[in-house]
Amino acid sequence: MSHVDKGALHAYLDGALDEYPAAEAERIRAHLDACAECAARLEVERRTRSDAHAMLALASPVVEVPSLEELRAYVQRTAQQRRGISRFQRMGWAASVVLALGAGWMLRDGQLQSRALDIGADLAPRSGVSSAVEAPAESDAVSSEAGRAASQDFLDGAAAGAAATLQRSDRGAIGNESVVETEVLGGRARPSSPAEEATVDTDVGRVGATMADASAEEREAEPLPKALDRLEQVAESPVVSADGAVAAPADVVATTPEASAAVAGEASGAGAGEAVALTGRVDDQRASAAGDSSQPAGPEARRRQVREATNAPPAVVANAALVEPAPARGNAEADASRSLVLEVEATDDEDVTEPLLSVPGHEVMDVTNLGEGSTAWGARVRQRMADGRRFEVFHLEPGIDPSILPPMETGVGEVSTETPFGWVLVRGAMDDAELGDLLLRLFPESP
Amino acid sequence: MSGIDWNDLYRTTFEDLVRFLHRKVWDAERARDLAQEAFVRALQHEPRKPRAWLFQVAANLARDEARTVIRRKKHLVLLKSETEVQKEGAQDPQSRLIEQEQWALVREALDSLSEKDREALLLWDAGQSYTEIANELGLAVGAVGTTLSRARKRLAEAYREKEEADVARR
Repeated sequence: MSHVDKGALHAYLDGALDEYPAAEAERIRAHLDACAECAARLEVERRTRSDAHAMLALASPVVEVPSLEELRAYVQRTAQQRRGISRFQRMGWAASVVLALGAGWMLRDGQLQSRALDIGADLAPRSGVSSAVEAPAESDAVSSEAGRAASQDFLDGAAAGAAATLQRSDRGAIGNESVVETEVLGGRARPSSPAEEATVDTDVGRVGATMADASAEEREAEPLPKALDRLEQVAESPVVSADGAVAAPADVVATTPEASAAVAGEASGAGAGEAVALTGRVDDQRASAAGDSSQPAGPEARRRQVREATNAPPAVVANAALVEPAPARGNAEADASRSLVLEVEATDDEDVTEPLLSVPGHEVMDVTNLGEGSTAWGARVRQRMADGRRFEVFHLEPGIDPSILPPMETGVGEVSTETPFGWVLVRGAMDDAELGDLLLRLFPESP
Repeated sequence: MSGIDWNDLYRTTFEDLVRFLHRKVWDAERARDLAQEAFVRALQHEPRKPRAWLFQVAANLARDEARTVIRRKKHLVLLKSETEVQKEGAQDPQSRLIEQEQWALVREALDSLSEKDREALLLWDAGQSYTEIANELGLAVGAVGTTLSRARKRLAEAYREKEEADVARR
């Protein structure tokens, strides 16, 4: 009669014999009852087993079990944001740097109405009103009030009032203008059109995208033609502002030269006035404000030397999407907050340089988590320069849209980029060149 | 409807999952985050065999975590950890130090195991059955006991060796 092997002894000790074929399990039990030698071996193995598990128990953390309801709420809250996963990611990090330039910089010329134009990669469907009207629901859900207040305290912004930023626009009239007149055209909410929902159902993959059952579809990049179709579709959908001006969606930011061209072409073809989608290698100067939005002019290419401003690598290509502002009225402030989006090139996720938490060389004043526990959605780093000026770096979790952030004070600029690790934004009361430089310093070259 | 009793699954699995992950990433808070991430994904996907699925996803998450240095996330974790360390540390810093040393010993001992042995041991310790472990690791059910016996023996030996070396160093 053969003795019981070690594996079977452990199965016996683990109560796993029931998972063995019944006859085999019965034989093992019977043998252990009858064999003194195996019974002795069993005791040795029992001690080994006990020792091993005692050792493992030494490395058992005290587990604080969060509420399942919190997780459910988180899943629900992020569901919509996940639908809006970046085209950039899906398209495999196309080789371009996209610059979406808020018209805020134009406002500094003093030519324009107080209208915060925060332009980004928003493909959210809209008609009549912009995403400014839709944004509060999302931002409320994640409760950015604390961060908002802290942010406003922190930055040395100018007096509030002139700039209508995303969240602020829902609070009511500002000055003599209506809410809609001061709304943001083209918030930075990420794509969430039904078309995208249909084509993309992917997990953002906070840590890694190795999903056990992830389907091939989920990993697949969206075919370019489909992306172009969608971009074109959006480009054809005019945004009607309160004053009756019809604008092509200025917030369409294409991620490939082809896509950009398509967008620009559509905007051009439609002859829609306020919005101009631009593409091309940046080699030009700041655009001047032009035209009266009540009499829409054709799209006008405006380019900007981003490389000069940001010391970006020479390969950088920038595309810009601008919104022509509304004509000046009354004594509106000449300065406003502004936003600029840089998309940093990478060929695939492995090559993406992960952003540093803070900009090297500047004092870190404090670092704050945004959100709590399982619902944390980012971090804010406040830094001070040698000359006393301050700026903020925001790191958002993948799938979290920058529109969740507190609004910027007048005079404060923002430069942001989206990475596989989530959005990274730098805000400060300084010009775009400096902000862009700070942002790029968060991305040291990969080894 | 998936038919999954999420409350029960969560109650019976979450701690096991954290423990399993902790012995892979060696950061309690990170392990908890990853366990939550696994549950978030499970809630989204509603897999047919959720418990096994959770461990599979958790193992993948931990693997990715190890493979990819996600600096920013680590910073975030660090921030959270620091906050909690401040709370806990204020209560009993010495206990915490001892705990950290023990963790280090266990970690080194576990690292001395082959990947398959270690995985089997951690899965078993996290409450997985032989059948589940067999499926996860591509073993026959009968081979799981053999794998576990080898893993336990090696762990105990390695731990004692390292403990003795540690004492000798002091």
